[in-house]
Formats: sequence, structure tokens, C-alpha cells
Amino acid sequence: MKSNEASRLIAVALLSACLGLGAHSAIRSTATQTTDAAHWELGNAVAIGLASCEQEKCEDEMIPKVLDLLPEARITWVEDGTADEFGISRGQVIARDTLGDTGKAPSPELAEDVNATTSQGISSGRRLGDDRIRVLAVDPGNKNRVVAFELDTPFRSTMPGGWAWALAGGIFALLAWRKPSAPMVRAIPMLSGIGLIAAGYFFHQDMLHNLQETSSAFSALFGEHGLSWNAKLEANGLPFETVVFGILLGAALGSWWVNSMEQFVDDLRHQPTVYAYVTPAVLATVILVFVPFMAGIGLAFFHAGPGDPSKYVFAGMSNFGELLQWEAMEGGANTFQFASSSGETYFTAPKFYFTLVVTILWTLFNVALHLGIGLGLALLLNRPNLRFKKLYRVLLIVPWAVPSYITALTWRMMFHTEYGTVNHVMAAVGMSPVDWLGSGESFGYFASNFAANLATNTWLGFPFMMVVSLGALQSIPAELYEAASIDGASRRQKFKFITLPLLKPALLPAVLLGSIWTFNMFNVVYLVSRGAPFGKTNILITEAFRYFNADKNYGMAAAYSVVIFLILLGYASVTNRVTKATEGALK
Amino acid sequence: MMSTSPRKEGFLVTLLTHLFLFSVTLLTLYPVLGVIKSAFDEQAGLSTSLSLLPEAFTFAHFENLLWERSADGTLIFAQHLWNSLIVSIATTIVGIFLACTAAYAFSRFQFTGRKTGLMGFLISQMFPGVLTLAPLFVLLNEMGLINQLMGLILVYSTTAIPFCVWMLKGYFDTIPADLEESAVMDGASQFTIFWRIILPLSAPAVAVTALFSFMTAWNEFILASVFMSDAASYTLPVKINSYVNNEEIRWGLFAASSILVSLPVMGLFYGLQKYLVGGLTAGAVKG
Repeated sequence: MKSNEASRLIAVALLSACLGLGAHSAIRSTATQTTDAAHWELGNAVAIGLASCEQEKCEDEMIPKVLDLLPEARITWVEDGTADEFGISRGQVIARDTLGDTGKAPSPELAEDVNATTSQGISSGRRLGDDRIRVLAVDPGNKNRVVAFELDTPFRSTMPGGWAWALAGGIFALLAWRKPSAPMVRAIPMLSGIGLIAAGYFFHQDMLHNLQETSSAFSALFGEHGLSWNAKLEANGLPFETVVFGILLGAALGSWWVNSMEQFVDDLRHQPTVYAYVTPAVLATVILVFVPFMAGIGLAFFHAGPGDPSKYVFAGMSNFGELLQWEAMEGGANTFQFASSSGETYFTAPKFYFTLVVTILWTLFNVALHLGIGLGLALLLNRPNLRFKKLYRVLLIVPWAVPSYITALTWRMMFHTEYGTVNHVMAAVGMSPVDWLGSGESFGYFASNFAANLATNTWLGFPFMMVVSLGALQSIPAELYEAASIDGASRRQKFKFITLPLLKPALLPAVLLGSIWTFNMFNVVYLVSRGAPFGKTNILITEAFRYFNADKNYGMAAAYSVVIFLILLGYASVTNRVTKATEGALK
Repeated sequence: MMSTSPRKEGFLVTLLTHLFLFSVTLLTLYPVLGVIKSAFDEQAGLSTSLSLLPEAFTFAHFENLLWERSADGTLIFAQHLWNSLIVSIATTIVGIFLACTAAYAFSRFQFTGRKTGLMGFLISQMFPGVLTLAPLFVLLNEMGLINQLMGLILVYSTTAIPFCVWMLKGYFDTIPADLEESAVMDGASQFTIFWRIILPLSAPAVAVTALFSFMTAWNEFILASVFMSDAASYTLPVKINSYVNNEEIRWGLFAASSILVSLPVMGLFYGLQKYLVGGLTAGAVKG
């Protein structure tokens, strides 16, 4: 047992290291390989183009256009750059350098490059650093005139640094140390690993796309000057390293998960029917649930491209940064504000955290009401000599049977200001009508919309709790009460010492299940208040859907969903520790 | 009062209990009765009285609903009903088949990957649906299944699988192994045991699973509205939502169609509800 734990720990640590380094190097090297060749080609084309056009035309037209496309580029003309017999350049910068160093002598390194270029005849290049290259080209009309063109190869350095992955690895290892068998420890490396592969894939696609755009822009620019440049770029699917890395990761995880491949093969040989039973369901779930889920996680790291919204651009953690923004600014896009009818703002809150609080309140209120009403009715219905018990029960579970979207739409109509039943009832008892589902900046509109949602969901949800409580109550043996009566226990004592303790095992899972259902109760919020006013009554899940459906911001919607998933996972693992419900089932 | 035993309960207490239960029941049924009233009322939802009887009785809403035709002459409601039926029934069959076989293996055999599979199913229940929407759309699009009922069937049945597997496994676990052992003695094959012994014995759980799959497909409208852009492939929930979601609220049509749509699921629900809680708690609690 001990050695098993230790080997798991080592596996997690190795995996984490593999995950960090592998992902980092795979994505980085692919990015470098793909883009470097294209950038060299681009530099070459621009340098030759600049060298061969007339100087005035160059300075007036070409340079501004090139700098427009590549603002970080630097262009230098070096004339009379022939080397003397000692190999020392007598070159002198005579044209306008884009940095304004006009008239200065070129650096020894540049002079050396100029010499090399003029002696070779056409063009040459040098890498200046991790992210910068320089290409030189000779003016075909004047062999002593050379253009030096410096440009960035930006994708070499845009990936987050290796330290971040190392940190992630450390956290996994720590988790594994604390509790090697925790499902989190198993799930996170795999989820993030596959997410990273997806991210790498999209990242790669995105680079190609950007380069193709640059390519067509430059082709258009040089087309007028009789020179065309087209980087040979092909979207060749998953980058090779990423595939290899993915396979390695999968194999490592696979072998770790099933403890030993040997045993798996053995099982497969001796009881193939068992796998035949399981495979269809597992396969279907993997393809249509898990793969989209992983792709969704990958999507959380992308946002729509600035030029072409259908093309997604790698965005790092920026979606999460935007989402979790804490500063509330009046009028800001990430801020909810409450104002009095005179327009005076009296409260502002950052959107995400406000929605989180609303969701938690929503869940607490609902579960409390469901449990209170459900248990209360169950206790009444469980009275021994009650007549029409069955009839009441059948009628009281009607809300459970009605499709929830129909319930929600019906209740929306019931809260209609003019035609809604709720206002009619209030009028009947002499109260003035309320604009329940109205929209406005004041806190009252938020409260009335929230109350409408709450009323709807309470109606929808109490029958479940009632039925569960009733079932549990009926399973309590009557002898217990009889014995207690003989001992002279009061009704309150019986409730406290018999009913409640015996109800707990049945009610606890129902409450946990109910809280997760309510936390994600999409239909009611989406259809009753529709988030009004201004999205303030949205809960997390409807807010995520708003990003998806109304804003078409799939990256943000995905990031939002990832956060929801993590919250639920945390909640479930905490409650799981409390109930130990699943542990028994796994035996 | 506190010390009175149930037997000695007075008339007043009984009366009060009934009065309370009656008013709660009325409150519970009021929205449903309101919809029924609107469906048969010329005024539809625009009446301002609290009475549950229609002011001017009419079948017009049902007639409008059933005989409404699209531009090319197809009966709209019939078309959407057909779509919903196909999707729900196919989802139920596919879902039951996949869930039963998998749950049986998870319940009866020890094999490598069993824990992982069960845990994976459990975790997949926490995936927020919104996260998978965009990738699913791309996936279905690649497979040419957008605007196809097949696409919805696949998505619905797979999203229902994990829950169904856990529920069925919980029930299978309660069936004593002795039964199978004696069947093995009699020379029954693995499949015969599954088909002839386990499945018939778990009819209630299978029924609940079927109900769950059917209701998932019958009541779902978000995925359906995202994946079905063509009005001819709408399912009923998408259509019903559109009656009250637009500028012009067609309350009469909504009420009439709500009744027609709710009747089959309510029938199924009441037919199977005595198994429902047992099935739910067996899966969730006992395992």
C-alpha cells in the first residue's frame, strides 16, 4: 500500500514536470519553426523591395507603408560599404534610419553584415536575438548601397514563461502529496494537459492566420512595385511536437490511471465481454461530452480576432483577467450600479462577484424554502389518521411533473404588470400593483425580479423535497415512536431524537443534489426575469450563456464556464468529504 | 397540545390541517389551472379576473394551434410534434441501451478502469452545458448534423448517460448475486443472465431511466434552439418558447400547446413516480 502511494506520487511529479516542460517547449518550438521561416522570407522580400526601388519613392511611400504594417521594424541604408583589404568597413549611414540615427557610422556588427552581403551579391541575414532578425539586400543599381531591414519574429516570445508551468507542476505535486488519491489530482493534470494541447493547436492555427494576413498585405504593397511575396504557409493540422507530446502524456496518464497496462491487457483478454458492455457508453460520452468539454477549456484561452471575428486568437489568461476584474467603475462594462430615481448612484459592484453572490443567495434561499416547505408538508401528510392523504400527495407533486420551461413561462406571465395574476391578487387585497419584471437602476427592480425568480423556483422545487421527506418519514419504524411514548417522551422530544436523526441520511443527499440543481437552474432565471434589470438577477450559468448567445463571445463564455466548473468541483469535493456518499459506491 | 398523542387529536386540529393543506394545494394548482383556463378562454391571458372559469369558452386556440400551416402547407404543430417524438423516443432507446449495458458491467464486474469510468461519469455531471455548446456546434457541423434530428438525439442521449448509469448501477447493486450464481450453475451465459434476470428484475429502475431520458429530450430547448436554425426541424419546446418570447405574445397558443405538451410527460411521470424517488435515492445515496 505504501509503495503504491509513493509510486503514485512520483508519477504525479513526473507528469507535472512533463506537462510543464512538454507543453512549453512543444508550443514554443512549433511556433518558432513555423513563423521563423516565414519571417525570414518576409524580411528578404521587403529588403529586396526597398533596395531596388528609387530612394525618394522609398522614403515617401514604401517606408511609411512598411512601418505601418510592422511598426517595430527598423530600416537602415548603408552606402559605400565595401570592405578594404583588412576587412574593416568604411561604410557610412547616409539615408534616414527609421530611428533617426542619420549620419552615424554603422555598428561593427552591421558593417560586417554589409560587407558579407556586398561580397555575396544579393542578400544575407542574421539573427539579432530571440525575437529579432536582420535581413540585408544590395541595391541592384548600385552595388555599394545596402538596405538593412530589422524586424521582430514576435511569436517566439509570446508564450507564458516556463516558470508558470513549473509552478503548476509544483501545485499538482503538492496536491498529490497531501492526498494522492484525490480525484482532483487525477483530473487536473489530464484536463489541463488536453486543454494545453487544444490551446497549442489553436495557437498554431492563429499564427498561420496572422502570417497569411501579413502576407497578403505585403503582396498588395509590393504588387505596385513589381515584387510579390507569399510565404508558403500551410495549415498542416496539429503541430508534430504537440501530437507527440499529447501521445506521451496520454500514455503516461493512461498507464498511471489503470495502475498498470499489463493488468488492463490481462483483463481485456480474460473478460472481453465486460469491456464490450462498457465501451459503447464510454465511447459516446467521450466523443460527445468529454472532447467538447476539453475543447471548451481550450477555447477559454482565446478571443475573437480583431479583424476577423470568426478567427480565434490566442489570448492567454486575458479572458479570466477580464472576468475576475475586481475594480468597480461607475459606467464601466464590468460594473453593476444601483442608482436612486433621481439618478444618483449609491452602490457599484464588480459584475462577476455580484453575480456570484446572487447565485449563492439564490441557491441558499431556494434550498431553504424547498426544504422548509417540503419537510413541513411531509410532516403534515405523514399524520396517521389523515384522510385524502394520497389525493393531496398526487396534487402537490404537479409542479414536478410539469416541464420546467412551461412553468417558467407561465410564471413570467403571472408576474405581468397589467395582466398578471400576482398583481390581480394584490389589487384584490387593496395593494397597489408592482412592476415585478421591470427594469431600472434602483435596488427595488433587482429585488422584485429576484423575488419573481425565487417564487417560481420555490413552486417548482418543493415537491421533490416533500416526496423525499415523505419517503424517509414512512421508513421510520412506528415501534420507535411507541417505545418513546411508553417512556413518556413528548412530541417535540420524539421529533428531535427520532424523526430528525433518521431523516438526515435521506435528506442530506437530496439537499446536496438540490443545491447543485438550483445553482445551475438555467430555465427559471433565463425565462422569468431574463436577467433583468440589466443582467443583475442573472446567476452564473445564465450569465455565461449571455456571453455565448447575446455577445457571441465564445472565449468569455468558455472562461466563465470553467470558473463555474471549478466552483462546483470544489463544492462537490467538500461535500463528498462530508457525506462519503460516492466512496461507498466505488467499492 | 404538545403532549397529546395522535389518537386523541381533536376535531379542530384535523380541520385546521385540512384547511391548511387545501389552501397549499390550491396555491400549487392555481398556475396550472390558470393555463388551462387561458387555453379555453377567448380572452386568453388578457383577462383580469381571478376566477378559474373562462369568461367566454372557446376551442379556437386549439384549432388555431393544430391547423396552423407554414408557407409550404405543412401543419406546423404536427411537424414539431413529430420532431419531438422522434427525438425523444430515439433518445430514450439509445440512452437506455447504452446506460443499461454499462451500468451492468460497472455493477457486477471488477475490471481495470472501473473506478475511473464511474468517477469520470460523475465529474461529467458538473460540466456546465454552456462550455460544450460551441465545440459541440463545431463537432455536429463537421458531421453534417446541424438541423438534423440525429444530432439532437446523439447529444441528448449522451448527456443523459452518466446520470442513468449511476442510477441503474445503484439499482443493480441491490439485486442479490445468488440469483446469477444459480443461473450460472444452470449453464446460462453472461448475456442471458443480463437479459433474462437482471433486466426484468430492474424494470422499475429501467422505467425511471427511460422517463428521465424521455423528459430530457422532450423538455430541452436551449441546445435545440442553438442547433436547429431551420424552423422545419424545431422541436416543440423551441416553438412554444417562441410564442411568448417575441414582441407579440400569443398567450392562447402558448396555453393550448403547453397543455398538449405537458400531458404525455405528466402521464409518464404519474405512471412511474412511485419508482422515481427510490431510483433517485438508490443511485445517489446507496450507490
